[in-house]
Amino acid sequence: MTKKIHSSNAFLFLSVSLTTGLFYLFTVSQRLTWANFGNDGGDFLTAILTGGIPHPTGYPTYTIFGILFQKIPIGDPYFRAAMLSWLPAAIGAGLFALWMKQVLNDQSTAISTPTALLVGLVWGWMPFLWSQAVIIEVHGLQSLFLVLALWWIWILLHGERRKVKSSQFILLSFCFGLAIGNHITILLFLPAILFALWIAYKNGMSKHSIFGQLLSIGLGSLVYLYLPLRAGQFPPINWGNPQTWQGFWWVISGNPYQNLVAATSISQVFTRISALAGLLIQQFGYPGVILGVIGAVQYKHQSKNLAIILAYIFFAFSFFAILYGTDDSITYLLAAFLVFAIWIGLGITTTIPFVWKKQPVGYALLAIYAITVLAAIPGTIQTINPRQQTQPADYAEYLMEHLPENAILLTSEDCDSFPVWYYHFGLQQRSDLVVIVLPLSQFRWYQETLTHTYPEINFPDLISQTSNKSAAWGERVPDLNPGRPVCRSTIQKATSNSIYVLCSTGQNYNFVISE
Amino acid sequence: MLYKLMNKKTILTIMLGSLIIILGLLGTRWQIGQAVTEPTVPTIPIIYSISPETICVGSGDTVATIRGEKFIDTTYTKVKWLDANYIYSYITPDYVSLDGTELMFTIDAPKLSQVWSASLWVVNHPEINDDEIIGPFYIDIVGCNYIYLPLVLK
Repeated sequence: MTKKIHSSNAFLFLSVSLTTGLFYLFTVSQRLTWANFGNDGGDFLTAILTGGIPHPTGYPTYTIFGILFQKIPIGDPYFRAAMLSWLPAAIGAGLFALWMKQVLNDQSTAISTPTALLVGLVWGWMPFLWSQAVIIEVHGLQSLFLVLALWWIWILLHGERRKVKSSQFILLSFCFGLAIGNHITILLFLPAILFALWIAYKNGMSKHSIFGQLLSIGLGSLVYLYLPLRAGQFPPINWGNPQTWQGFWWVISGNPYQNLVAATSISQVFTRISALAGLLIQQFGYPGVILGVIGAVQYKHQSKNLAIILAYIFFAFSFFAILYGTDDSITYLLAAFLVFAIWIGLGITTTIPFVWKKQPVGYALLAIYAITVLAAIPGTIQTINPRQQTQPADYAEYLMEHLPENAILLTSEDCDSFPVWYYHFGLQQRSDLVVIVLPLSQFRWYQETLTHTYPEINFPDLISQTSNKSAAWGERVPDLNPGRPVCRSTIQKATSNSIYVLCSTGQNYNFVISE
Repeated sequence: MLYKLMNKKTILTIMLGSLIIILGLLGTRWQIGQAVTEPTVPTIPIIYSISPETICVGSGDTVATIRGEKFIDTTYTKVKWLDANYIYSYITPDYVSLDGTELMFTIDAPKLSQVWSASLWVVNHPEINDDEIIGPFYIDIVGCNYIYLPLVLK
């Protein structure tokens, strides 16, 4: 009997993971792209390839896994880094299906298995997750960590009934610690976890076990030690130079982006609440939204604790994303979408037994919903496919080929800098160039990084403070190196966005990046 | 039959579902035009208005307000002042708004002792260079000699 359950679980996991994984694999980006909010891809890739430190909050877990994935002897560096997005996302979808089956354990197998299978696929094929699974970003890996965090919460709430091994608790809490090092927003799970630990304690879990799990979170989050350890080596991408406590805090606290938290005005909040409703429809379709609401409101949980935790996670992540003042804060909705997918599963379970005039209407509705999920796939592929959107790769490759010898390239924003970093530092092309990101030259850590990266170049004296909020330091470099041609890239935001590169040698290039 | 189905939870389900669909149909966008996450550097400030534009000669310390853009803070942004003796000085602002659009500074009484059209500039990073500067703008220091006529009561 146990063997049968195990094989059925393995089938469920493999069928969801393999199906979603194959779809991801056939649509994964093959070159650097800005598609699907992938603007930071060049920064992450360069950090992975140089053992460096990407932008705050440093993302040590992602970077370390990225470095490990580079050891896999298949494909090129880009493919191996992209694998860190789609592979965990696919594994996460399979585990999510298994988790869903566990949550529905009070239902018959005829209900729980097809529901878990369908919900696993709904999650895996959800446009947003898919869009992140095919680019270089942390959210593919984050989706796996989110599922593991849910799993941990679930066994805390119900583990005593199932005699869960203590090693499972320790492993999952350790994974949560690692997850903090992947994307710090998972800390919003912490109140839910503490609540679940309290419930577990009330249900008889020993203090030792709870302490062990808290310790495991701490051990997992020690992954942040990567930052000071690597910073001491002065890699070319060394955000914040976190060798000192001040630099370390600057990175992990997301110092340059702190003003973006709660930067949304009241009218924008209302706009975004409405947009969130639109996003739910976009991710799950109208039937999915209806099923999700049915599941959230109507499902009779074995205990109310899980219902409370799910509602908390949905609203906490939604509000954080709504209040965060950047366009890509949409990516913080991943956990909220995960909860909504769970509600869809609960909604399906609530609907399946529905019979009208002895006809199994519930199953018919489930079949219709499954068809709508399948029918949405071509549209999703068209929306998220990054393969045609290779402007950053085209831009950087062109510059690598055409920039004058020994040129100093002064860049102005993320989008004209990160692709060049990838080719120049990551792939070690055009070692004769000097790349200076002007806005970053306000920071002492960046000045220190540049002086270590380009020892042959004359730089102004380092400033004494953390930042002088001026690009003047970087602007002075060309004058101190008169023998080198200077190229300056700027973003032109007119009818179409383009990167305009003008060189002192007279060459100029214009790259249209979006219409 | 319908009455049996219509319990509180069903009504809540219908209301929530309808609300999400109606809000979703409004078609508003998540993007609010704040895509830039990289640390940006204010460069040359912009001035829209200065208040007051006129100050009576001999006034005491007077607070002036400048509205514009790209003022950094009280450390890195200064007001450069040219007085009647053609001497430049830098005035540290008392206040710069967080969004960098409002700056307040105090003009000391000695600077208001002569009739003069005082020139002022707002400069970011005067300690580094004089490139990040806007101006001159003017505040007129004028004589305010009023004639006090006696009130004659009938």
